[in-house]
Amino acid sequence: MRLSRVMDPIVSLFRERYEGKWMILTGLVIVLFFTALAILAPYIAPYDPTQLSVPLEKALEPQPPSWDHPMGTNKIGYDMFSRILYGSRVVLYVVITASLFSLAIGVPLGLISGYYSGKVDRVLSIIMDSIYSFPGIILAIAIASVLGPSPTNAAIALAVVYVPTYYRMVRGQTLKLTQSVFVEALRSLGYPTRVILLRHILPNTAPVILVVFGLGAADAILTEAGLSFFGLTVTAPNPDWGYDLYNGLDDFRNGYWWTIFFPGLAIMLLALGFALIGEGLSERLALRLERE
Amino acid sequence: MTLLRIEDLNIDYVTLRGRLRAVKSASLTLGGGEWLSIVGESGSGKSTLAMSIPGLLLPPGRITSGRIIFRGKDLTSMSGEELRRIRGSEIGVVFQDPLTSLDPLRTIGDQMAEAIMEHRSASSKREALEMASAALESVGIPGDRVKYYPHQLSGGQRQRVMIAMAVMLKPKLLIADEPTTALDVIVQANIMRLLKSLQQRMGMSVMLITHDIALAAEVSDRIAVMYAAEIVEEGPIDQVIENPLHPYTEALIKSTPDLWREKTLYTIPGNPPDLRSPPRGCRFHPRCHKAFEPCKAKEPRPTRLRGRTVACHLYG
Amino acid sequence: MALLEVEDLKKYFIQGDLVDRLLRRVRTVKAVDGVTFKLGKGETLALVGESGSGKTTTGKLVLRLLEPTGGRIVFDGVDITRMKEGELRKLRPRMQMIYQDPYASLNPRMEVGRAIAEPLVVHGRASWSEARREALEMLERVGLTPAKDFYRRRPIQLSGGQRQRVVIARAMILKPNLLVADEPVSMIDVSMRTSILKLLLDFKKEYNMSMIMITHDLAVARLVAERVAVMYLGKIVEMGPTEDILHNPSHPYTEALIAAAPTIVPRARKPRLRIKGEIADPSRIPSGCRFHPRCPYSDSSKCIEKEPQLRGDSRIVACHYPLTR
Repeated sequence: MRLSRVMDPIVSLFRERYEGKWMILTGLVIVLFFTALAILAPYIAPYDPTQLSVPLEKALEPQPPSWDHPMGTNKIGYDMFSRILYGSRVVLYVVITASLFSLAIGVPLGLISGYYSGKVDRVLSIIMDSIYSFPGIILAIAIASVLGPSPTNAAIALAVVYVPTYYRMVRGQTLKLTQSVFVEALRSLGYPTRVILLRHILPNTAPVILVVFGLGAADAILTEAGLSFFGLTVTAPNPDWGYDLYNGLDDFRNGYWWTIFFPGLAIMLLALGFALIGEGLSERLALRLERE
Repeated sequence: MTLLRIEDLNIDYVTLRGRLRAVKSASLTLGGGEWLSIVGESGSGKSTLAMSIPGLLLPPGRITSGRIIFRGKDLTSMSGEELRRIRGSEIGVVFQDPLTSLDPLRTIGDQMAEAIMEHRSASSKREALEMASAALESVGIPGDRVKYYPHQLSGGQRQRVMIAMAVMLKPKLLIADEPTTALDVIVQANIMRLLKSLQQRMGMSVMLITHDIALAAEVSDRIAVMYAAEIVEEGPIDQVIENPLHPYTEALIKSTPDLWREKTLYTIPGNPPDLRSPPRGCRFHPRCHKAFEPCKAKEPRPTRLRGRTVACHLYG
Repeated sequence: MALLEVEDLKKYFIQGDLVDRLLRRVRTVKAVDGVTFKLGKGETLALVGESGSGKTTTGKLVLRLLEPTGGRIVFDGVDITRMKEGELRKLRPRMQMIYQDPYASLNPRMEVGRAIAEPLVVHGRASWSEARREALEMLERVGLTPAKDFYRRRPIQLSGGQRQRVVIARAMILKPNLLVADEPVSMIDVSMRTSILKLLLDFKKEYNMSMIMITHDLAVARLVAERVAVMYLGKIVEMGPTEDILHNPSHPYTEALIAAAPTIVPRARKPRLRIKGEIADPSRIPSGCRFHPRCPYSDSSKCIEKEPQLRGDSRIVACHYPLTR
């Protein structure tokens, strides 16, 4: 029952005709495409991503794309296509986990801060603003290096970085709604705070949370690539886009473009997918606010 | 003498959700020096009708057919530039919310002088400012207030400034769209008195748009009642008030709370219709206690009746 | 016995941020400045005045939707002036409020039927299925038929009048003893105003409910209220039986309000009194009688220096020179 309260506005986004629809649909197609790749990786991947995929004599030099290796191989002889497939698992795991963590912490704090204002709000706002004022990538690197390289630790580091984004948006919305007549009307009806927050204010912030989720995830993919670049997400020889990008840097100088091109393309595409969803939703939201 | 004649005017709003007729075959005349009030509820089309006259229809509103003859010229065939020249000089307009119609960052004198210069009614900025200050005096605001910014004035004073701006170039017609709706009762009464005295002093015609039939009754010479995009009744104010012909006018009068009448709670059943799908036949028939068979099937045509017009099957 | 007793109620708002405080520019807005009245069971009192008179603030204070700065509020024998929100919540179903803008007072995303049913569930008076049935009956009762169809609609799909009916239904489903109605018809289409007022009166009769009708429109006050309190700059300046006050005002401000009310009656015998200017800024209340700068009868120094006190029994007025007839 409560879930449907939150989902209703989301579903209603898709019922009507509106401007951002194609952006959202394109974004969804991209994201779902990569999700499918991640899930089906073991069945699609032609090779083990951490095993030699070519005869030993060919493994000394990256092999260009061919029928056997659609994205070529890297300088250790691993198949790039298989690595991209398996790499999507790491990226999606880290980014989705991180976003859900940030959401799970940022949204409730934002609700409380916006509803109660006063001291609680001031303290939380100061904490969140100080996190927010750090450049995201530097903060993430700092946290991840303390925790050690692993996908879960990378997710925690990213989660910390994006909590303030959720917090600030939800707090702003909640503050506005708390001062609105309809929330005062609910108070006059004798509603307990819990009901007002969860059943009335939260569903009204749901579309904004979705926008932040989309744009935040897009940003997180780039930050995650940054973490991997410094070897803070996975350890060799595990596949990861950002890590492969780092390893391919030397190859590019030697004329082997494919070991850097395909991981870069994958990162860009997935980030674009999430960004399109976020932008589309936000356009839609702006239009609806205008109409109201 | 006729100043303004509206002939069979239709105005549509074309939106994604479809076409909506906001004003349907409206015909009206307004004599020189005459006060005509257009009374109706929100969505009745009264503002749309009035705003179409000086070419102030907001898109997606569009005149689809009909003519607006003002001093012998058809305004519907004029260019935006020609209409702009007529606005201010020959037709003055006053809106509901005076705050949003004034630039908060410039003095009122500056804004008034600019409008005067725009119409080349003064040879210099100084002369224009003098005219502005005289215009303020004429609406009961000390002339030295030209130096004030809008926020330094109260709501009632701002509306006086808007009226001064609308009449300072001595227009032949003043269109006032709910000019007192945002104001308190006492301020409202003072503003209405001001408008009446300006009309008499300057000999201009006034078209007042209002939802309040009592407000209209106190100042008008004639009244037109609109319901669901149509003018349902039109005539001299005393006759319409004392002997309303259209059942809607009658119901509106009966249901308006009034201090000087016997206390009754007369209610009109139902809601005004959705203009996207108006009822067949007479648009008022679902709420009308006098409705009979033809009302459901056939649209009533406006009928002339001893200097009055009514669109109702009860009268032919 | 009175259902509601309000004594010397005050609400001051402090305006100004930290910088203003440092520069000693803080302004105290005296929105309500000592209001006293009693409301009997089943009685309706109209609070009448211009914007800035403090009538809406008074209504919200009475329901403790705002924290009073001073004074006392006694609801049905219980002093609720400083009652904690948790305790107050148990009383809230007995005192309801209706707002001027019905669209703003509804959750835009919630089906209106659900909005009507929910209070019953929140207060543990019914299960969802029972509440749904009662809400359907309520929709029928306020004239939104077919109820099943209206139950599913969102506020945006209704007209202004229909929305206000939903708001009324939501407040009435709790069968309150007190209703504060803040300009309930001023944003409603004219052809539907009286039907909304009639609906409120029907409920009032059925529940023997007391009502505070906040309005700027004396004609509306006359239709619903047995008594009228005229407010000016945070104070009641005149109070008494409605018809008596309308026919025989004692305070010049009351007379000015009556004179300003438009009428449809040709050649109505209105009082001639006309006053200038506008209500003062409630952070700069005039000395003495707060109405004196606008009062055509104030020519004595008494009005400027000394604040008149409310005097009288059933008819009370705060004026040094009340009108006599």
